[in-house]
Amino acid sequence: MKKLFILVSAIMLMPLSAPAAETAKSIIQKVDQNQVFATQEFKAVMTITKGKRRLVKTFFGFGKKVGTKSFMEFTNPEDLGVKYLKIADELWIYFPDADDIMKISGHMLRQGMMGSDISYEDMLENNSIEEKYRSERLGDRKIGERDCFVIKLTAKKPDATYAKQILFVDQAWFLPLKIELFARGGRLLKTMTQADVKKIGARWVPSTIRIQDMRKKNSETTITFDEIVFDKKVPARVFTKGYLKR
Amino acid sequence: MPYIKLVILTSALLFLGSATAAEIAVSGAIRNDAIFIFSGPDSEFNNLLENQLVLQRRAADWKFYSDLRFYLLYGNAADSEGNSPEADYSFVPRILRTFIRYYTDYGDFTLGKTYIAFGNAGILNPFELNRGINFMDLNYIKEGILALSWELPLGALGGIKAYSSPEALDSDIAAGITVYTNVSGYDLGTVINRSGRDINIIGGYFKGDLEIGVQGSYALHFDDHAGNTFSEAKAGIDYSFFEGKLLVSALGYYNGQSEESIAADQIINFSTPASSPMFFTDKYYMYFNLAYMPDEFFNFRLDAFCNAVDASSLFLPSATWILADGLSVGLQGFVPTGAGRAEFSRDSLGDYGIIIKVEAKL
Repeated sequence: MKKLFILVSAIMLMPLSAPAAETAKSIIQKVDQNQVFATQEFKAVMTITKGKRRLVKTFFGFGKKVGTKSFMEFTNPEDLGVKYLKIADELWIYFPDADDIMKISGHMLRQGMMGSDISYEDMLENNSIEEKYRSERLGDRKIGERDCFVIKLTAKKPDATYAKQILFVDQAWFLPLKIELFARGGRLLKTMTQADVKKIGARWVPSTIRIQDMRKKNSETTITFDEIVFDKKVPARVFTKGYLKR
Repeated sequence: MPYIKLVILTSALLFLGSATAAEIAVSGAIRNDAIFIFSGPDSEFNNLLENQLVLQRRAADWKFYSDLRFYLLYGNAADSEGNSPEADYSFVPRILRTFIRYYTDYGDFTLGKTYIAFGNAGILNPFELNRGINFMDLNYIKEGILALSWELPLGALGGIKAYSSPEALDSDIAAGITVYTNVSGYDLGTVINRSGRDINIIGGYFKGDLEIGVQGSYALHFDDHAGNTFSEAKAGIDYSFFEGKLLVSALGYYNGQSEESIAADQIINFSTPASSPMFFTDKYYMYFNLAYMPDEFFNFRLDAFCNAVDASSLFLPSATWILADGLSVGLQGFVPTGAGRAEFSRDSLGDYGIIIKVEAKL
């Protein structure tokens, strides 16, 4: 009876996920579970800052896991009606002035979206980390007040956008609060921080993402999500070239 | 004074558009290009002030879009618009687009002044219906044509597009059809088009990736009796470095138009909008583009057209600075290298030119 009491007490006192028991693989699986969606719908504001200069762009979009499809449309006056369609590794841009669609070469996916510090690939990808990277747990660290797992990711394929990533994953939310992105030579390319975390359904989702390109001085891009809806049915026609002209 | 009139007119139109149709979104832009051309000891100044007014409304089943331009021209540009030589200024209104598009289960129908695009979008596209090239702005929006078009999507990336237009050469009917798809990451299409009497074209195009971006187009021109045939083709590659900050592209262009086909009125040459066909009449050309875009606040481009027959070239370096949301200034040069009767000759185009550009989007 005494043994049973000790066992029950021990179980009750144990945190829901004991940090020490988590492996790199189980952490990444939970991160994937939290961030990979069937469908996504969002409205966002992107602020590009360089020194004292600032550009603000507003946009909305949809994403779909199957076929890794994304659609995005800009709504700020300078870029009003510019639309993107990405299906797997192919990207098309619609220019409303020209009423014409242009296919963008694959190598351009690494370009900063609208000149920002976030690339088309970063913004429009919805692949699971586990599919593309090998993971290794390095230890624990605090980001602000939050306890985080530190996970090192190494790309499985040499053509991955980032050869290495260091993720600082919140131990309760399984959301990376900070991500360091490295080139093949080991150089730190970008730092991404995710903040203003909200619970939407069963997911923990950042409302603000801040990206700093470490090769540029005084440059950063902040994306603030005004609305995010997950797993709501998005009509299939949204992810077509025909829809770009609407 | 004409500047003030233009600003008042645009303001009135903006007000009218906003007040009478609250559901119509109104946007626009004001641009000014100050053009200096230097030729030996002489210099010439032209100015182009452009107001753009865009009215649009998007509903679930239809879309209305109108792009109106009001130009105030000074210098030779004013003369080319038929202005009297005594007047310094010329005011030119122009409708670039005004169409309504309906979405139905049987495809999307567009009626009005619309841009009909076939083939790979970009420079020297053999399937381009509007063959104007604006050396002052290679990305300048092209004027549409009055047409009825129909586009039926087939799957996510394929479809059929057809159009018919009364705006054809010799008061004939212009019409065309394209079928396009995507196979293994390549956009592919075939085109058949008639632009007017004896000006017919058939061909195909592709665009995709082989680590580098590749594209190609081939078109066969023929008259109404399937004679006077000649080929037109384009092949290009592009690649970017430093995560897309430096983009390099090159393309070759072949125009097999002969004296006979020109005599048969099969004139298909690309040209500048304000001149009669005078460019790209030789057989072989190269086009190069180098674009450096470190961030959203600055970009530099170098475009170059080379006539491979007479070895003359036209270099178009340009830089653009974004000062704030919607406000930019730019500097562009144009430098021809040929002499005498060469296509890009300093003797006909001037030694060099500089364009100062200011643009405010509203």
